[in-house]
Amino acid sequence: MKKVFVTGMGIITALGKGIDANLNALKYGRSGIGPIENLNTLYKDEYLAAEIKLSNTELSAFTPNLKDLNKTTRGQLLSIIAAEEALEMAGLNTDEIRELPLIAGNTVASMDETEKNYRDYKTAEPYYFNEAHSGGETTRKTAEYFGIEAMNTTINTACSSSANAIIFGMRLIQSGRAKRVLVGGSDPFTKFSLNGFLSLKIYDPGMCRPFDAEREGLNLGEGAAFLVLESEEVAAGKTKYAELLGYANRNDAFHASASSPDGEGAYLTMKQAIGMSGLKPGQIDFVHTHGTATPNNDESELTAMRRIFGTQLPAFASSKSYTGHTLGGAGSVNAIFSILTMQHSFLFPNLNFKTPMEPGISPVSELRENVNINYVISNAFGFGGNNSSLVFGKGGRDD
Amino acid sequence: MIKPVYINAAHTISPQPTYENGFFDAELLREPKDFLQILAPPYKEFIPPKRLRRMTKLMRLGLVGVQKVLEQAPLKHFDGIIVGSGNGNISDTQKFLNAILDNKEQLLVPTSFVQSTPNIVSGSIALMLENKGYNMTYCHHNAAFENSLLDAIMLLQEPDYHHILVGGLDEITEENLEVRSGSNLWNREKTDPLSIFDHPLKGALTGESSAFFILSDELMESTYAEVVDTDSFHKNDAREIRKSINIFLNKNGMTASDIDLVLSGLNGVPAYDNPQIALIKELFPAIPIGAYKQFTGEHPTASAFGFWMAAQILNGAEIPAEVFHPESPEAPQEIKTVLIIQKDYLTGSSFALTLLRKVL
Repeated sequence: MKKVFVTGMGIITALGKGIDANLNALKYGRSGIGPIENLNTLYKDEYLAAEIKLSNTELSAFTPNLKDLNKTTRGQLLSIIAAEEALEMAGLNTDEIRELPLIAGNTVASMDETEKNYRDYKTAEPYYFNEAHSGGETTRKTAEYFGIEAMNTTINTACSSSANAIIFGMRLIQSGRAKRVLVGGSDPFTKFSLNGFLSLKIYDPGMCRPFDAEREGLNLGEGAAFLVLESEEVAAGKTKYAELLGYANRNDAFHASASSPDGEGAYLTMKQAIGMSGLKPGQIDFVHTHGTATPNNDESELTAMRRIFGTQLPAFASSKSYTGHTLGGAGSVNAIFSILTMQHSFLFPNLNFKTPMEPGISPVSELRENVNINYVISNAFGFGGNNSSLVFGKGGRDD
Repeated sequence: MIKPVYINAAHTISPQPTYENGFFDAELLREPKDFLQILAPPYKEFIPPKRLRRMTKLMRLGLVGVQKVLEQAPLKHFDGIIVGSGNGNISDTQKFLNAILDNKEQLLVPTSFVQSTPNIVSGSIALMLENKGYNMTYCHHNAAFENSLLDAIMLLQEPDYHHILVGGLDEITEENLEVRSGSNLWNREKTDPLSIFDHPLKGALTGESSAFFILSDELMESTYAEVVDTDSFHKNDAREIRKSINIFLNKNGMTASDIDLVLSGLNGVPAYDNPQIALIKELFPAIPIGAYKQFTGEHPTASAFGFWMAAQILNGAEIPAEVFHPESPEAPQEIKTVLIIQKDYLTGSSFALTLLRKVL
């Protein structure tokens, strides 16, 4: 099998724009979750979310080559900003970018504009109801911005979308169909998703508390995260931030919007991903969980971890208490944070944790520095039973 | 060495009487419509009434589709379930959106929210079949179905994958068509769908369809045809587009002269059709040009219906005259290879290609 390396990363979340801003927030335990300011919702003063505190016009300062801001949605802006950082880091030239397949995941995509304009469709920009209706347009617009002419595709497996984008990108490289790919995902914060999770009664009235016995649900966030993956041949001589060693995509086949109590889907996907990487479960140094802080997800994910790792759980944490749940972006945000822990030899605290779900079962709850993290598994689970896991190895490690 | 991939079952539910699986055995419908809706199959024969009531159209179509292909190729297990849908679950999305707006964000019921994501189709199929395997959903414009095919072809190259369920489906609703009406993209005059190539349309006649397939790495009694390859790209320049099509054929050991039939997503709108017809005539002179959106209406996964047509043709079915575009040259006696060219109607620059071959 061809080796696949991460040679570029880019991100924008409520923690900030760029890898450094996100890294610092993780290190200083600074959450991006706070009062809702941008979204015009009834629940503005009642619930919290991890918003990026910049308007679309302000975001467009980072996309100087964009010609039509009036036909650009927030998810598209976020995608372009994150993808640009990843492309720059990987040092790709114009020709290489033109031939670069782009695989992106999203769920609500351009719903922010649809919900704003729905009752005024007669006077609103028709772009929002036609082209932008498909999540594919977020990807196409991103590709167009950089002059990508190769295949672009879009995956929507709900909250595991961008993890599946990373998997599909790796498979394109391993099958010989591509030498390098741009992969990731994005989603904006919308009334549609906020009201959806409120109606499911899995939205915490305060800050979300992953893996805490008293947890009541998630907080939503927004953002985009992209990675450049390159095959061994074309990555030669470049900085390799990580190696993508294994992946799995399985279905829980239990319920449309809930995970099975025995964590079967999560168990199968983690087991298969670790198996593919050639590692033993005991070699995993850190589990970067999906950890949405809903009672159901964390219970199910923890059960799956117990089934794989036994009584000796590796260090684990959720970053949802920093970025909120970024839906379609969640899988690639998780992947980048996983890589940062290896690259910078640290583990970030799982914020807002107080009471273990079971005696002795606690996530990382304070900053750990100077720890050697060689192998990380990164999870993303979604509605429809869609579960995916990725196993990364540290760049430049000795096997 | 690339392992061949075979279509071992193919079924479509469309605005034409295709449900019984004949290749237009029943008389085609010509009733003028302002948009085309599928002829509803007998859902109750496939889905228990209690579940049926809560299910949205795409889920119902998915669950019927998988049971219909299993009638053709009785398999115990799929190694993957892959669905493409460009527009996703329009019904539930608009239902939840309207509820938010009407009720001012209060007293909402989550069902339509949960069902609003397109992966609810592959998810419900997995649930019905108790399938805990690979499960994926693509939603990329015109290429949503082709991306699903590509995924299946790639999976079938791996040792542990033998049978993959692949589907492509989209729906349209009156309300969705209405909110899209600020553009000049859509035709709202009542139009005979089979006559869309006879006079220029100002906008496309929209529609919906659903098609499901079993792709396998082995021949079965039910095999229709071989899928050679699929790819997609984004280009505007005609010369570059021709070049990309040639590269795709060459990569698969073929040239333009090896193609016996081109099926294209022409929809009767001259600004969209004319460059495509010119491209096809230049690349494939004297080769017949078929089309599929006169049967389904314009929508992102109409090419899944085109793929079903190609499977029927390569399996030896006689080609109905309605398939051919008025500008098509005469068809040869035997069709051995089919190229499907699916260009995106809305964005214009996205192309997806699929190459199929007769099994000898």
